[in-house]
Amino acid sequence: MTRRSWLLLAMLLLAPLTPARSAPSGGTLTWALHVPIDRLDPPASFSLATGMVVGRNLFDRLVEHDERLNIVPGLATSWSTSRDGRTWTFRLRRGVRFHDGTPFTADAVVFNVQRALDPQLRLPAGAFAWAGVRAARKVDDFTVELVTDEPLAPLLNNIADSGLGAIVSPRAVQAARDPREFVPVGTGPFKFVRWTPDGEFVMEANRDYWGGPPRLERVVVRISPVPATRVNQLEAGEIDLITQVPLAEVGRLRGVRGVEVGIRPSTSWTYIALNNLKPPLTDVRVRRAFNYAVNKRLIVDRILFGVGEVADSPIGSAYRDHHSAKVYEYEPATARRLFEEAGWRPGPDGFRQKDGARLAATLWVPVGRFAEGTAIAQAVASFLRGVGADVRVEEIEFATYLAEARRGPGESRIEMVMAGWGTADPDTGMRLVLHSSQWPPAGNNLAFYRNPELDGLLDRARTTLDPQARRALYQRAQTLVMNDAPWLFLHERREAVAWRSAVRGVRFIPSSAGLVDIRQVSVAR
Amino acid sequence: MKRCSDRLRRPGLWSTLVRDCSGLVGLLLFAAIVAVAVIGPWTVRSDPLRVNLERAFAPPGTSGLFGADHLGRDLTARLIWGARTSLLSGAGALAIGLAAGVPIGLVAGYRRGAVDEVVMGLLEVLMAFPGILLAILAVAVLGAGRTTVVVAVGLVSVPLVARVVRGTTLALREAEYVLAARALGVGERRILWRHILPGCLSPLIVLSVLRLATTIVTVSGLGFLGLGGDPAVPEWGAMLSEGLAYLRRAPHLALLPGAAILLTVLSVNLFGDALNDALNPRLRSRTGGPPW
Repeated sequence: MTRRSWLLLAMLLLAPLTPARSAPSGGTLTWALHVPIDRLDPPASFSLATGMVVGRNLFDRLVEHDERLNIVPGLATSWSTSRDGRTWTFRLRRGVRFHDGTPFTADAVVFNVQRALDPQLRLPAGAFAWAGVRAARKVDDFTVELVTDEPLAPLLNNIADSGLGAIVSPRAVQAARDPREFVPVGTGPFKFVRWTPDGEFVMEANRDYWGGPPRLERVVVRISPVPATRVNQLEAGEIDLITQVPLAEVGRLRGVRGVEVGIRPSTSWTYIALNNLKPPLTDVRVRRAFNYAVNKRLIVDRILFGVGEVADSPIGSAYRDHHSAKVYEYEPATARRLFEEAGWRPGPDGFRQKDGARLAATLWVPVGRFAEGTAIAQAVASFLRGVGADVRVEEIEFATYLAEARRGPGESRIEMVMAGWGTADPDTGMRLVLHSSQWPPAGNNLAFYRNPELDGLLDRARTTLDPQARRALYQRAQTLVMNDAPWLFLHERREAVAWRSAVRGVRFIPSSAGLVDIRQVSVAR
Repeated sequence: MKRCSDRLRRPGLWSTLVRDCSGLVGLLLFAAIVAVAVIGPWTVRSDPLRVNLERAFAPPGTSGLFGADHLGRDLTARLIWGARTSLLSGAGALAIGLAAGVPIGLVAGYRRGAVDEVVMGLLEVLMAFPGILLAILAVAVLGAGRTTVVVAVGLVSVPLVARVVRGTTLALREAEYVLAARALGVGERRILWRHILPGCLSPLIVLSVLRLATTIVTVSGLGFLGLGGDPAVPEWGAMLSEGLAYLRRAPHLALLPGAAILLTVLSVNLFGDALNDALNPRLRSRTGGPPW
C-alpha cells in the first residue's frame, strides 16, 4: 500500500470523528525551513525539522516543556517516583484519541517505550529519550510504571525534549510494514495531510484536540535552504515565517515594515575541544591561556552580529540548572603570563617554543555545521597567533569529522576541533561531552577530558532526584569544568527567526537547538 | 575586426597579434594582472591574513583602498595576494596537463595501433565528463587542499592536450623530414622530441593560453565551493563565496573578487583568440574559432 492510500484510509477513518465543530479561524501559516524534514517518525530522527515540525505538532509527549523549560503536564496529568527512586508512576490523561480514532491508553505508552528501546529498530532519538528505562508496565488503563536500574533524574527532560519522546499511535506503526510506509498519527494539535518528495509538508488543525483546537487552520512547511532566498520570500510575503535568518540581515530586517524578528533562545552552545591528551594541551595553564587569548565578545559582536552570548559555563544559560561560573575575558597579558609560567617562550619565528617544540596546533572546522564556523575559527586562530601559538584552521567535511570523532584516545588525530552541543537536561548536556566514560569511540568527549571529581559529581547528579540537591551538584560541576578549561569556551548559540507581522503568537521553547512553537499561532489576513 | 595599427605591414607574429584591438587589449590586461601577481605582494604593507574584527566591513577608502572584509582583513592585500594564488594555481594545473598530455599525445599519435586506441579511448571517456565535475571528483578522492585542487584541475586538462598533440603528430609522422629521419635510423625518442614536438608547438601554445583561462576559472570554482584547503589563504573563488553572504551589507566583498576573475579570464581569452588567429595559418582568414 502506498503512502497515499494509507492517507486515504486514515482520512476515511477520521471522517466520522470530525463533526461540524467551530472551525479554527486562524488561517494558513506558510513556514520556510532551512533544513529538510528527513523522517516522519520522530523517534527515528534527531533532525531539528523533524522534531520541531512533525514531533511537536502531530504528537504529544507524557510531559512537555514550557518557555522556561519547566516541566508541565502533557499526556500524563501527574507523576511520582517510588521511595527508592527506581519506579516512576505516570497517571494518564483520559478521553484522548489518536488521529486515527484509537484511544490513548497505558498500552500505547508501553508500546512506545518498548519500541524506542528495541535495539533492532534503531530509533536513535527514541532511545535517547527513554535511555535508562529498563521496563514499562501497565498498571491500569490510565496508569503506567517505568522501572529504572537506578534513580533517573533526567528522565522528564529527556522525554519532553523536541520530538524525541513522541507518543505514536501503535496502530499506525503496526500498519506500516516498511518504515517508508509510515503515516504519522499522534494525538497532537495538528493532523498530517501530506509530505511530498520536494519536501513540502502539510498539516491541518485537529479540531478534537484534548487541549482545545489550535488557531491555525492549516500549516504548509516548505524547505528553502538558501538564506538569501528565505529572506526574499519573507519580504515578498510569499512565506509567513522563516527559520535561520542570516545574522548579517537581522539588523536590516528589524527595520523592514511588516516583518518581525525574534531571537530564538536555545540551550545549545559552540566550543572548541582541546585534546587534553596531546601536548602542549595537556597543561591546564596552556588551555587557560588559550581561553584568555581569544576575544569572544568581539567574535559574538562582529561575526555573529550580536546574536549569541559569551559562554559563562560549559552549558547554555537556558538550562534550568545553568550556573554562571566564569567568563574567560579577553586578557592577552594573562595569556602571555600563563604561557611563560608553563615554560613556553617566544622563539625566533615569533611563535613560542619549549624544549625545541613549537607551540602549534591545527584547528578543525566541520564545513557548514556551525553558523559562521569558518570565520570564527579564523578569528580564534588569529587571536592565538597574536600571543605566540601557531594555530592553523583546516576545514573538514562532516563525514571526515564523524570518522575522526570515532577514533579512540590512542589514535585520535584531534588537536583542536570546533564542536557544539545542547540538550534539555544538564545530565545529557554535560555527561555526554565531559564525562571520562564518554571518550571516543564510546561517546562525544572529544577533548578526552578526565577529572575524577567531575565524573563523580555527574554520576551523583544523574541519580539525584531532589531538584535542589541536583542543582548544587551541577553548580560545582560547571565551576570545575570552567577552571579545568578542557575546551576553548566560545558562546551560546542563538538563532534568528522572522515572520510577517500578521503572524501572532510565535513562542520559543529553548530546549536543544531551540524550537519554534506554533501551537498558539494565528495569521490575520 | 577593427585594426589598431595598419601601419605595421610586416606579416610577422607580433604584427598579426596586435593588428586586432581585442588581442592587444587582452595582452596588456593580462600583463598587468601578471605584474600585480608578481610584484604586487611586495608593494602592500598590510598582512592579508591578519584578522582585525574591530575593522570588520570597513568600507572602501576608510581602511586601505578597498576596505576590509568580514573579518577585518585588508581587502586590497587579499585581492593582490589572491592574484598570485589564482594565477599560480591556474598555471600549475596547466603545467600538469601539459606534462602528462604532451607525452601521451606524442606516443599515441606516433605509435598508433592498439596503444593509440586504448589510451585515446580512455581519455575520450574522461572528456565526456564536464571538467569541473571531474575536478570535484578528484578532490573528493584526494582530499581538499590547494595542491590537490591544482592536481585535479591539471588532470582535467590532460585529455585535451593529448588530443591536440596526437592530431598534429598523426599528420607529422608522415612528413618527409620525419620519414627521412626514420630512414637514417634516428631513435623514436629523438624523432618525437626533436622532430615532431616542435611542429606541435603552435597549436599547443594557443591551446595552453586558452586552457589557462579555463583552469583559472575551475580553480576559482573549486575555491568557491570550499575545496581549496586553508580558508585563510586569499583566493578569489573563496573570497567571492565568503562575500556572497554579505551581498546586501557590503556588496564589494563579492563583486571585487568576481570582477578580478572575470577580467583575468577575459584577458586570457582575448589574447588566446588573437594568438590563435596569428599562429594558425588556416585561420588567418579569421573565420570561426579554434578547431577544438
